[in-house]
Amino acid sequence: MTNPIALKLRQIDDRTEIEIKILHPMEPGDALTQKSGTPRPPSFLQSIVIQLNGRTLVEGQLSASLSKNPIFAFSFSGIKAGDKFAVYCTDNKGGEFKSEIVAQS
Amino acid sequence: MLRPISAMAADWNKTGFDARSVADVLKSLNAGSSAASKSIQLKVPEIADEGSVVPVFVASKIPNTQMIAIIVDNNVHPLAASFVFSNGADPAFSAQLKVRRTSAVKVVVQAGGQYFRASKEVKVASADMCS
Repeated sequence: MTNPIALKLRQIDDRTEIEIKILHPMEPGDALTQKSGTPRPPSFLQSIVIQLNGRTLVEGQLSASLSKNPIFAFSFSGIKAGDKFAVYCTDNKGGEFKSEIVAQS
Repeated sequence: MLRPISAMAADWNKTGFDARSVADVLKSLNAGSSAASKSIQLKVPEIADEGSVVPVFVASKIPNTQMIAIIVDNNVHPLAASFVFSNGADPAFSAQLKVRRTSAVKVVVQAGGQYFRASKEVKVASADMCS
């Protein structure tokens, strides 16, 4: 099964930015489907954690007021080659997702 | 120290995310009173063609910023997200919001035990407004 999380690192001046793309419906559960009229059940990311070399840098609480297939970006200073970022997400159905990326420079 | 990811899920601010009024959202964040601040950078488009994907960028220049929350006043559930920054992370983020109809987008920052806010309006283009 492919990982729903895709990570990219980029250098902007003296900062390292991490871009986190996550495939997820972010469905609030209050919409009616056109065919059957049955509400779609809620299915959305609830939390995101970004760690650097095992230390937590950002903890986020999320909701279905964020767009489908969200793209987050955060920035950090002092990142060196070999530093490892880990991103963890959970959703409201108990789904857990993880991805890692190592800084090249 | 890493808390188990399942503990993160248990901590989810259900009261705040289920709240239907901005007042109740602010109460759940303990941000009942906040000072308007020019040191919060809030970038959202003035007009959004597509209310389901509205890009937002927030950066706080307030010293000791620990938490940033983002609220879409006129959404059924106004609290969209909140982030806690530690260990040197820049107190800033990019994301995309659902903005159901023209609405103020508010940012609440918690820094050094105090609360600060900034707000901008996003107009959402809709079929009713095409003439």
